Amino acid sequence: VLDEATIRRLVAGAVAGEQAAWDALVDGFGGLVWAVVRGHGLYGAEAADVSQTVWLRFVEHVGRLREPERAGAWLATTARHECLRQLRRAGRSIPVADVPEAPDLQVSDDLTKGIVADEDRAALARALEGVPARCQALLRLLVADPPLSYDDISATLDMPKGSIGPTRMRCLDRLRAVMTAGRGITSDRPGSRDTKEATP
Amino acid sequence: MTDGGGAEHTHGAIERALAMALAEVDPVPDAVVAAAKGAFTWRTIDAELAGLTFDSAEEGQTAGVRGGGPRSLAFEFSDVVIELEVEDTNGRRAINGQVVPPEVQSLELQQIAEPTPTAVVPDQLGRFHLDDVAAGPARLFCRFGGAARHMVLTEWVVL
Repeated sequence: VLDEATIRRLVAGAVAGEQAAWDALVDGFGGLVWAVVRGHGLYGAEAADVSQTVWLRFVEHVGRLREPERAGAWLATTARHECLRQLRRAGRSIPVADVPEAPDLQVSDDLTKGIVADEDRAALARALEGVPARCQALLRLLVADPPLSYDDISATLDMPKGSIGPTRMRCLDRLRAVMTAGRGITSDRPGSRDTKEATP
Repeated sequence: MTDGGGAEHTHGAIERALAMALAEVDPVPDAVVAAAKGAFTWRTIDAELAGLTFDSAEEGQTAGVRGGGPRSLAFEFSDVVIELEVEDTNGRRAINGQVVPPEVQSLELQQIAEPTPTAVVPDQLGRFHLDDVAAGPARLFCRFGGAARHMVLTEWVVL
């Protein structure tokens, strides 16, 4: 994770034409841009083009940043705009709906206790595809490295800052519910390691 | 521990697991990282940047009417306006454009997908046409005649 002084130094280096400084910025913030792009449901060539355009725009603007230490926020917001443009251009829907409460979700004991085994991580990543698009975008930003502040997440997703916390809770509950449902399905398959669900 | 603290503990654990899961399952592709680093070679310091001031795709006018009507784009810097109409033709792009003022000395389309830029010859009114353009990130580079001889680049857009 890059601290503010490092980010300022790297931005200054990039402005001065140093490829190494630029590379370090890409290494530092590439995951954040990718989190926004994936969070908007873009894949394949579309995702690559949008990511590339964000970085090309950053090349143009890196010398004009008012607050160089907030380069991550600039990249995330620009990525958001490029994603929306791409989605609208392709005539696809844009995830803006609020995430409703879902009080009746069934959540497994292990996940309720916060225990996630290493081998369950792939299932967890798959489960992310099963939650509402708005949740995917928020959760990907919340776990992005480097992390964004709630202020920046609010600006990036056009989500009121005060609703980020509650929405985060609802989205994590939904993710756990999808995981739980997924376990119920896999326990019927031969070779399942999930004995807890299989035995009454 | 309170219930709220327990829930926060649980949510934190899920987020940490999710962060690790995504890093393993969906890392930034090497090609995307390489392209982002390569973007720096497109750095230009001697041209003015014409910002994107209108995009019909962004206005939502084309939402739900995929394939209907061309996409309109406008870029502006000072008194320079560059307008494009981009049509999707079987995955390729056809472009009708106009540069104002029309005193353009040279004009070219720069694309990530093409190693060499495409020279464009506008007519006396600054209008030009391009066929069979590859999709993907692109920008226009304009060199004006006259005393100022200034150079203008449009922002990158995904065609």
